[in-house]
Amino acid sequence: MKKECVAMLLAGGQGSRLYALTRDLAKPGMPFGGKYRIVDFPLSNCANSGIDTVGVLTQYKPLKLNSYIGSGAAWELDSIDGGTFILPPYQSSGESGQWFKGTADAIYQNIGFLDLYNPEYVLILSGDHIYKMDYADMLAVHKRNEADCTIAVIRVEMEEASRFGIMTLDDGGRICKFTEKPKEPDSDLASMGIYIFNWKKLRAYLVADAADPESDNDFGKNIIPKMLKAGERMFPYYFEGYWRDVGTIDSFWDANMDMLASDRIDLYDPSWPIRSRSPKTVPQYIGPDAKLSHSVVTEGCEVYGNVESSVLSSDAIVEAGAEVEYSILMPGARVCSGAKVSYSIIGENTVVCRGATVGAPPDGSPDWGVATCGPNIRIGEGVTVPAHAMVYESPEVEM
Amino acid sequence: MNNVHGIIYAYHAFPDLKTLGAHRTGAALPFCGRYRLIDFALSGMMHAGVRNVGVIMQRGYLSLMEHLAGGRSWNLERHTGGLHLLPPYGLSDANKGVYEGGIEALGAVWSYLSDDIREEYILLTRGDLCANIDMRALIDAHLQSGADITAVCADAAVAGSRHSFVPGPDGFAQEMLSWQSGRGSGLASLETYVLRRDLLLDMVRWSREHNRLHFHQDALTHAMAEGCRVAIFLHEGYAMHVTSEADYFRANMDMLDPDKRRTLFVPDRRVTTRARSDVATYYGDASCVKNSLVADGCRIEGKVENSILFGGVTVAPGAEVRNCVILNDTVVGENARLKCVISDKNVQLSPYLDLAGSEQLPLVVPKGSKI
Repeated sequence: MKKECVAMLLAGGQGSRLYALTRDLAKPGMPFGGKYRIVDFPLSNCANSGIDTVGVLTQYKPLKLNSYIGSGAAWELDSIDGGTFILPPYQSSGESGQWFKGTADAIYQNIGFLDLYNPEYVLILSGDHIYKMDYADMLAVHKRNEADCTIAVIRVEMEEASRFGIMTLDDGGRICKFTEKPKEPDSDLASMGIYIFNWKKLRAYLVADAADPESDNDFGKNIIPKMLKAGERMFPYYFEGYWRDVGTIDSFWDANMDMLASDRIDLYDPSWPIRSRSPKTVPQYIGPDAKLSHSVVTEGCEVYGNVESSVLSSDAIVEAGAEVEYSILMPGARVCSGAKVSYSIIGENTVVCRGATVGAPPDGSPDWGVATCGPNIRIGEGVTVPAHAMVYESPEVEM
Repeated sequence: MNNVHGIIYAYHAFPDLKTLGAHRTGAALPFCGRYRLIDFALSGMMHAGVRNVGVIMQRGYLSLMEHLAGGRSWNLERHTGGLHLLPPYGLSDANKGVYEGGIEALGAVWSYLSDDIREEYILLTRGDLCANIDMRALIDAHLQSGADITAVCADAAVAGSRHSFVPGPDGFAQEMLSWQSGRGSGLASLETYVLRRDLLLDMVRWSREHNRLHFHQDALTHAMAEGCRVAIFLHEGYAMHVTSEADYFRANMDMLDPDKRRTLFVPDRRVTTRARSDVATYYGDASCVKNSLVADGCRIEGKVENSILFGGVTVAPGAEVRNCVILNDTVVGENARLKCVISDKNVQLSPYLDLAGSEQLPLVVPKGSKI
């Protein structure tokens, strides 16, 4: 089945800086914004952009992510000719199986999948960003430029630039230099980790790169520099709009808080719906004495206490007399009577027992940060989890 | 494979539903923020492992059809069978526009009943019944009791109930009473039955031959007179036949009572529905929401008390919504005040509007109105 463009979504990321939250869950499967998981964004973007065939490359703790994605029907990505395909590392005849070594290796090991569709173009996506992008427009720009590779870029503050892969352009607007995390950046164009390649060209580079024992088999470190060196036609695709990497606790918390502001990312736009797989629960119930302001709440939640400036995912419960502020409650989290949660992330199904305290408001000290409780744990009665702490096992004694 | 075929009556809306039932059958009435009444019958059958379900429809079935789609939400999307939509197809000589009664409706789909159904048993229920019946237990009880028919009854009074069964000392029904003979002492019927297909075919055949139209007054009364043994299966938990505007209002309001809600939305028999894909609901800085059920996709900046909000509803700053049922995508303008109002879908209510009904007579704003 010939396809013009197939998307490959790199969803194997461990998210090591989110450790407490991602011990049993790949980062793209993380609950986000009350209603979503991170992977909803690239999958919805694909569906809205008319891309109907998506390979999802999984590796790290993929079970929950796999069952969440299912057939792709929630994103209308289960068409007759296309579909959503989970692609774990696998064993070929006569060899022992191998884990994906780098991002490029993940694609290399699935050349067989891409050959089934023999696409003209391959779109490479990552599963750890929150954004809305029309990939069809990016593809149109790629074609207009007669490019071999197009890299989506966003302008960042110069002082931030050394955290990103930075593009330098020549006078003709072509990319002439790509530097991963430069100490002294010479441009503010950051790579978003979204690439379109001509498949035939990329295929040849992947095969050559796989044979190179010196290579890390990574797009940013190896494939892109090799293509630049060989003089391939490489262009930027300028993206303007909301885009957040959610790879750290702080950025994850910030991006969730952005859900509360109406001017950051418009999720109400009917022409670009971000879809998710809805849990089958009753509407949220707001109790007779609840106080709720500047917050998003979703189905299955029950709120009896005070909630301010927070994001509540499905089936989260805030009991009477509990207080939650500037926090994120993941699905099924419960804050019991008399407990106080502020500036915190509470993992899936975790219970904050009576009188416990998690996190604290910013006090100006350099050590301050968002507190994080991993999933499926119990913060016992009266226990205090201080600001900036990260716990993933039920604390036995007062910390 | 399950040997039971489900049939759901969804062919009409009770006249007292007035504008709520003007363009939709009772089975398609939106309920409790994100459901439609037929979800209870379909989910109950799904949990009982019923894999073939026929829905008898006749008028105003557009919104019902959109809701049911292929039946996927209730595991009824199958290569063969699954969900069978049964609008009138004119094979019955009794097909004269409006079905007068349940047995007439069954007669109108005679060829489906007699030729298409492979299962030995039929589970018959109403699409506008608001109850989460344990249909697996019902089927098991029927098979074990050796009864000809098992009737589901409630253990408490049921609003909108029109028939009741008086249990005898052996547990089987001694007598069936109808609302026409006054309020009897029997157990309120939920109009949900399990019986052999052969028996149902006999009942339909007899009714056609004798030009009888009603399931209870005619066919079932006759069958019981002929010696059919009717067992009673007691349903514990919430139940209501939604037959009027006031019932509809009350059933929704009942869901604000956690005890009632928990017996209708039972965790191990989850009610599934065709979900909208909405964002989470946003509660603004000045919002004040008390004792309310709110679906996703709403934006609430005003006051909401003792109310049910469906998906996509906007409550503008300064607006006050008390004891209301607000259906999908309705916009309540700034400083508008609503009390005991049922707003149908897509209604635009202007700023500073003041609308009030009462518990007994809620004010219904028709679908798509701009006031």
